[in-house]
Amino acid sequence: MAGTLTLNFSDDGFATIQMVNGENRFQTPVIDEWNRTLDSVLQNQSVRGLLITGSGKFFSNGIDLQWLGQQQAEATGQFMSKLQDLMRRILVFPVPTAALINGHAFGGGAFLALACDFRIMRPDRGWLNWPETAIGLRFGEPLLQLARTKIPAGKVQREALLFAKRLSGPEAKDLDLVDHVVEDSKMADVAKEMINKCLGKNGLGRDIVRVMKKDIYGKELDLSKL
Amino acid sequence: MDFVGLSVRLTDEDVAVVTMCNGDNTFTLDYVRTWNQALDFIDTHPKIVGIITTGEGRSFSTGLDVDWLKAQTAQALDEYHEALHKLYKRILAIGITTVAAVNGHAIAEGAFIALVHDFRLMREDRGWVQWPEVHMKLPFTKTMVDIFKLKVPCVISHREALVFGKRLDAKRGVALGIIDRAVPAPSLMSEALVTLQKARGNMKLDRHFFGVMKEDLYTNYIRRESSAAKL
Repeated sequence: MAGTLTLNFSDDGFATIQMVNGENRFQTPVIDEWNRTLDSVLQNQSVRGLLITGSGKFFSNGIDLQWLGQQQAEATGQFMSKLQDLMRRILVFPVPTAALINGHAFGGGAFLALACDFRIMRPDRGWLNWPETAIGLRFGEPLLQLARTKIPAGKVQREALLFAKRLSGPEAKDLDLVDHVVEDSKMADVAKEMINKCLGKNGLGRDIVRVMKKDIYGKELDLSKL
Repeated sequence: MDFVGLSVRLTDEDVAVVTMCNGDNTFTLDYVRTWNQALDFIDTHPKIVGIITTGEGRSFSTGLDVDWLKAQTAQALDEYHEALHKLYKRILAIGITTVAAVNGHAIAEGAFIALVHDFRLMREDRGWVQWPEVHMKLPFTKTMVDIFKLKVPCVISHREALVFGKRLDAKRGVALGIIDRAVPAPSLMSEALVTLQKARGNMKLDRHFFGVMKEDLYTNYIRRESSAAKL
């Protein structure tokens, strides 16, 4: 499947991947397109930061459960494996990453946002939500490990993961799950400012950024294949 | 349903109110067994959608019965610790939303009982939460430490509550992330009920599944060890 993502490069060293496929749900061909797009980002040596966003009402509603239900068992396993790998790839991406959560981020979409270094939400629209408890679905250890890299134990895991709370921008900010809450039109500027602050005057090398992320975020994950 | 020193009442909203009603509700092996009887009772009632645990009078539970402790053999104490750890984990992973309504002192075992509930509300004006083990020269087991850290990730809290065994009033308990909310005493139970309802929202929580979700988050991260270091 092509065309679920657009990729743009700006003169100030940023790549923006935008999900433009309705609810932006994940299927195997979508993940394949993600990986090709991330390859293109990396091939552009002038890229120093990556912004990820959705469109309209949706950042991403996560896994396409309807599609998944129609797959054979082996394809299901392959899909989950690819999804986990994509999340981990973004988690340790060699340039700073920011999720501009323009709308709903549910389940896999929430994990995608979580895998980024920074998260920005709107004050007035969109929920960040892990609905697994509400829909009777276990996380599975690989995604739970990812959750633990960014969602601290105690109150935050309880609210976000165990009790599947739908978090508005301000609620997510209260739990330190997002960094900023700003209106839609300002998100890109705020994200770039945050990333530029990280890069400073001299920038950060891609190799060291990747290694740092693996070391710091990867305590619980098996990142040996990356 | 009445047990020895503990009662379980079912409300109209299908909430089980577990009241520890044995004076200061100190812990012995028998009290651990009583607790398990109460949980067995709750297990056999599939309609229960919440548990509120509270005490009576000045104490939630002041922990280990020291007189009982002095009369125990080393082997009996090992048996007690084994059973106690199992109880903590049983409450921790029960497939029902749980709230500890801390009506008074919650010390040592009492503090752990509160901690293994999903939520902790405390009356704002009286009572201490304390893990006094350092003052009693009683090391924690790895299980106990892991339970604490799973519920209270703030490292300042580890220092204040565990390493130095500080006495914490409700306000300090909230500041350290140990108590979720301090409320006026007369509204302790009603606020506990509101907390339960807000947590569950519209979700239909199958008991087995919800227990598995809690296990996924908690149990795999608790080291198994019921005997502590010997000084």
